[in-house]
Amino acid sequence: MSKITDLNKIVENGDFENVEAAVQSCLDDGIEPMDVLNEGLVEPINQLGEKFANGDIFVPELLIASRAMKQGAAMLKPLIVSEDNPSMGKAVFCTVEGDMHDIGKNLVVMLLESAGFEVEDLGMDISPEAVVEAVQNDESIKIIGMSAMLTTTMYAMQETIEALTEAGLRDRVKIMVGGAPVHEDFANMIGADGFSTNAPTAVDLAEKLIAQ
Amino acid sequence: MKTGIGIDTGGTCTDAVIYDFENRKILSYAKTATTKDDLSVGIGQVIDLLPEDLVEKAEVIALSTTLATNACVENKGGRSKLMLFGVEPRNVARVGQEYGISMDGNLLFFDSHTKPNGDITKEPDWNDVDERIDRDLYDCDAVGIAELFSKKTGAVLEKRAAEMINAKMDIPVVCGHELFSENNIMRRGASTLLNARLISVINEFMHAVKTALDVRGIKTPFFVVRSDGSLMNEEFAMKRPIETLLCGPVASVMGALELSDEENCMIVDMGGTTTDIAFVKNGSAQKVKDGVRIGKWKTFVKGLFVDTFALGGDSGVVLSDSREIVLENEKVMPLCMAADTYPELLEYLRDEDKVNSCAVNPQKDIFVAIKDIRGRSGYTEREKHIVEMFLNKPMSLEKAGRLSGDIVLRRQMERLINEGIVLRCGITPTDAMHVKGEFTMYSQEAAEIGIRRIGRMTGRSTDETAELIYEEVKRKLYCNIIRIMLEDAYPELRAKGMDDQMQMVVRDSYDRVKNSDYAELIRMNFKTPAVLVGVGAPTHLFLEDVGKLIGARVITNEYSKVANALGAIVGSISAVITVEIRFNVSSNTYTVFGAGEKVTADELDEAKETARKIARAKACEEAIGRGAEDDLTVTFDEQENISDTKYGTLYLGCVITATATGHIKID
Amino acid sequence: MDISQKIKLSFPGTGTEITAEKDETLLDAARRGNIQIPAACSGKGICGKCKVRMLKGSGGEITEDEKRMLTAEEMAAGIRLACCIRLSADIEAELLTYDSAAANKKTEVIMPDDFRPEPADAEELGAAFDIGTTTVVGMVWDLHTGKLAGVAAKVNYQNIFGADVISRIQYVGGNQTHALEMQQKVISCMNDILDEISKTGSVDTGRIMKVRIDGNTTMTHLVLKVSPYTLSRYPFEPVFTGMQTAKAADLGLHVNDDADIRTLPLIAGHVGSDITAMEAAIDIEKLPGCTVALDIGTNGEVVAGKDGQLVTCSTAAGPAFEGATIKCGMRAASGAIEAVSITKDHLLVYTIENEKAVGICGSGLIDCIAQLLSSGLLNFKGKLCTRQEALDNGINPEVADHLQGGEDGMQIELADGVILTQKDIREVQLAKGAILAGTQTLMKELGFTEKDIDRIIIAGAFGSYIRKESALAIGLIPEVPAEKIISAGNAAGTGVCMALLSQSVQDRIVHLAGVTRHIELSKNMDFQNYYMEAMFYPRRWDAHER
Repeated sequence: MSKITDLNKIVENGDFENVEAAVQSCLDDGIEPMDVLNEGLVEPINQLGEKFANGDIFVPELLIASRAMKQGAAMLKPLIVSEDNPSMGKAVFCTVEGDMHDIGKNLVVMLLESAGFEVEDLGMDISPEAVVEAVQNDESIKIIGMSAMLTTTMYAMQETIEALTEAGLRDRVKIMVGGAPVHEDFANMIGADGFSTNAPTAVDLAEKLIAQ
Repeated sequence: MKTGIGIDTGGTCTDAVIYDFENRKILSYAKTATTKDDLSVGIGQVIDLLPEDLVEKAEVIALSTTLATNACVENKGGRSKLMLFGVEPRNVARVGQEYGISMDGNLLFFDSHTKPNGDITKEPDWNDVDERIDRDLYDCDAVGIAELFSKKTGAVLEKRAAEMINAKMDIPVVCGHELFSENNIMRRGASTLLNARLISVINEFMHAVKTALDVRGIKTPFFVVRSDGSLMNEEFAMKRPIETLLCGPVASVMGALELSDEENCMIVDMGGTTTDIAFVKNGSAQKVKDGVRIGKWKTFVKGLFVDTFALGGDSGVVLSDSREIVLENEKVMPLCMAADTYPELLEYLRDEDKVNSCAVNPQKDIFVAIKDIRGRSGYTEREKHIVEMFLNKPMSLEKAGRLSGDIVLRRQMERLINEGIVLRCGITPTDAMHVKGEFTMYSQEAAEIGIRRIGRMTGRSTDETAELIYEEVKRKLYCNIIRIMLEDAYPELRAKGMDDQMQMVVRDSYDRVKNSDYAELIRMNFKTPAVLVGVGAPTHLFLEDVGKLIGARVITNEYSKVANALGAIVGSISAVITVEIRFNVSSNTYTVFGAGEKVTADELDEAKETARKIARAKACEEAIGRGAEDDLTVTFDEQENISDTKYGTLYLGCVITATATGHIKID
Repeated sequence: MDISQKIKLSFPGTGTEITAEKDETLLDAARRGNIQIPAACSGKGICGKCKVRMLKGSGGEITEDEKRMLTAEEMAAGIRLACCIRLSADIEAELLTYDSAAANKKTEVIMPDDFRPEPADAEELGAAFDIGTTTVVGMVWDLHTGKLAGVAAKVNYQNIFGADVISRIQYVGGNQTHALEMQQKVISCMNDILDEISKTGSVDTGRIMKVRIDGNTTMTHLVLKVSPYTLSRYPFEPVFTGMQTAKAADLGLHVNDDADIRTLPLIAGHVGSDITAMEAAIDIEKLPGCTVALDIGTNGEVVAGKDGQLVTCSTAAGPAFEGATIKCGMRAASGAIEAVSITKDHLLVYTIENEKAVGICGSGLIDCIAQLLSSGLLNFKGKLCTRQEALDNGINPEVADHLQGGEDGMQIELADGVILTQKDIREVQLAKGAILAGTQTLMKELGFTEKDIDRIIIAGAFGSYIRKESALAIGLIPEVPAEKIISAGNAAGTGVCMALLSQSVQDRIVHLAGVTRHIELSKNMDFQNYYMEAMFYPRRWDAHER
């Protein structure tokens, strides 16, 4: 197990330069790729997520750890048969039109991927049409997450939900919204299925929504 | 004295009333069987049953018909096409089925792009539109047009296409924005297409009715009832047949309201197989928030909120494992009726009666086939054989087994039973009514034999058993009424359904409230301030006692049976127009849109004024178009959505609804 | 506003009467009426600067904060803190202190040694205004002699609508009425500055025939009544960037009706003419080798130059360095901790004017964190250690005792009632990380590294007061030898004065606005990557690496 523990430390420290070597070392030791992924890469991220929620660590620690984790995961992807690793579901996340704040969204995306979701990050400044297009192109999308930091860009959330309703797709997905100015009242008024103000609760919400 | 004739064509009966508007009295009424194949025949017949002089004096006729509903369910309709602007075929292929639109030749797609805020970034190729109108619409009875985000564009594409068609052809064209203002192009499109399909159906019907009236020398103009209970004239009805969907239940409610004169009531309509319960709060009937699904069509038509559950004169009576009398959910042919229709059955029953058996024997269950499906595909040989044996020959499984030299089990005809091809003949509350002498249209003897047999199996006399059956009806009615009231108070219960424990409590409360002997500390007397209005033939037998248990006043009078026909004639004309306001954050302006209009305003007050003006004008225009007098009452409903965040306030929009109501214009 | 809720707030001394709303603080109401009661801590109840004397009416019950800040004699004399009084009935009050805080830092106007003004023929006066988000400085010059006639600085009255540009932009929205309101605030501020100068320097502002104005993009738009709405959403475009001309009557500015009033050209995005003015003041184009110039304020603009090529960006660092988001943060005013010394044996703080410590200002903040890092009480990841951990690491109990647990995690008590919390430390990490990452992005763009840097120029009001070693210690700037760090004072103010006094400098500013390339950081991958690492304090403070 010590090879796994070594890998854990490397991820925790965000040591992306050495992560690939550490992953290889685990594989050479005969550990199954799935286990290297879950116990070596995903587990430390989950723990960091808890620490972040408790205020023991801060944004940069989580971000650099995720960078290291992603690098390691990319190495393992071709080795893992997808049936062994069923996804929780597919989600699409974005920062809405006109808005460029994305640290919060990036954290959520990262934690969701660790939790087993398949997440497509559309990026920032994403128009309502682009979200509708994404859902039309991919029938497997179950969750849509939108984030905004400014009151002026929050209107785009309302527009996006309307556009999805008009396209006849509203019933096919669950919509969650987030960002500092977002709150329950607003989320209800625009017809979202849920809202969250920080990354760890966003993951809980996504898990609840996907089960519905 | 102003009078009018209300006519309702229901599933079983066609009813008519002559109503005095001024004195609010029913002057006369009549009932006849509904002629399903041509409704106008039954309509003519029921009019004939009314006093001729009163019919002559009537100034208006109002018709409530299940025509459209039946057509939907049976998937009938004329040849019609739907033009879709801004919608991609692949999206309809993926989602359309849910709403009733399928990728058949009836959908015409036109490529255009509209952004969610209503900006049209790519217009359709109008030359192409022109060509295809010529090519694809020539053989249509009616056309529907729906545009993506039409609410936000002011429906410009729909309007232009409609103009183009009207210039070339004389067929009815109805646009999505004229019918419904809600979002969801799939649903709107489906509703528009459905409307188009129904146009030829309703046209035919109206002609037939007109002929039937003409033949009788009746020149009175007639109006048709809509799903919200209001009326529309012939001309309007011919363009908007979709609005007549589900008008039946509403007419019932409106009639009951008129009879009871109560602001808050529950209308209980017990029919043959189901009981429908509707609510009226503060004088208005509760509607469904979402649109209704009829057949394969998911529409925006907002029907009445009706809670329907299985309980009726024809609910089958069976014994539970513990030999308790229980009412089944399935429809059964009352034994008394079966014996009346098929005399051989009575012979069989008499023979069985002499045997005095008290064992429960499923082989003794009697079945009859009422539809001949032997020529149709999709049925197995065995099923066809069963139908052959039982076709119009009710007999027990035992006898059928002997005839075919085989064992016949219910299981083998399950599908036939589900499809209504085969019916069980058995004891029902209708039979109990015969035994008690309260309804004796069919064979009293058969009823007695059947109930006596059940009595033997439970160790009770015939009269006691009939009484027990009544009790079961009352219990089931009570439990459902309590359930409905609880669901009204707790919407989550309606969404999720009551769990087993809750159901047990409700069931038990029936016994407890009748019987104060229980040792526990709790008394459970559910009470309601509402008035229960009974409509439908057997209701009055059961509703009174149930009402007593929950402290509710019960109204059932002789006119309850024609409440639906009454409801048709007491409606007025109304038009509802919705206009919305949205804030454009990038230009700091407000857009007013709806009813085919789109206007920009700089200030919110200006926007609201404009919205009210448009809504009022359009509502009045439409009300008059529907047949109202000029003297209209206009009321407004305004809903604003404003969200306060700690960083500022967001104006999420305003919805202004104008309702114009007026009396029927009688020339 | 409900009529019955209107409250009258009057200052008989100044003859001002303000209509206030119920439950507003006296401080906020006064500011709305342009009475700038000094509030270094922005109304948090910690600096004690907003003293007023109650003449008529009651300010409600005296609060805990006031009991802490005021002496018994003061309270007996009816002295209250304006930020603690919630208005509930008509009140008459008297101001006791005047806002001198702003004046301290910005009223030194240092012109470059080699600057030669181009004298005007007539005996005219000219005014140069540097409109900062927080402070506005006005400098009146004799255009004929090229000498300074007077200078004054005031807090930007727009602060009532928010401390940072985004709040102000959001307030204006697309609403013309709000845009006018916002403009009137800054113009009254500028007029009050002119008033003060004319009194103290016996200067006739009616003779001001030429005005030049510099400010960041938002300030420049607002002073011209233009709504900077497009700056709040991607791609953050200004409505205009070139030099604009305006008439005194249109603006409402109290100078000669025929005065030639212009705003200096902006670069792009949020980077405005305060940067072009700074570039001119330090003559960045002529500087050989590699230069980095920073304006450490809310917008955190950085300029990098190499052999005449210039690039700039706005890091949107946030108002942490202005004291806004820090629990005990305040602007530099007396009583603000401006320097800190921490070793394993002692913890000492130094305040402005040696007054009792009431809060901590930007330079003190940077100093404090540098000291926490060097003493080992703070790790490079930004986590404060617990008292026990400190003791285990050989820190004396005297010092370790300053570490306490608080509602938001660990905190350290710097002086009686003045604490620095874990959250404050995180705020600084984010702010300084943005500035450092922005700098690194620009350096990469021009192709040079830390080793190539010839000079780092820190401009901006409190740049002069930051200890260079501390700035390096917390990783606010790239790692360079301390002697390469130069403080340039209020370079923007200097630049706008130079533009006023010299046509060739003005032309040079227009030229600089054209050639300085703006890098938009929001979609820049390099910035995202640098930011992640820059959010840590320098790794050399890692315990293992000591």
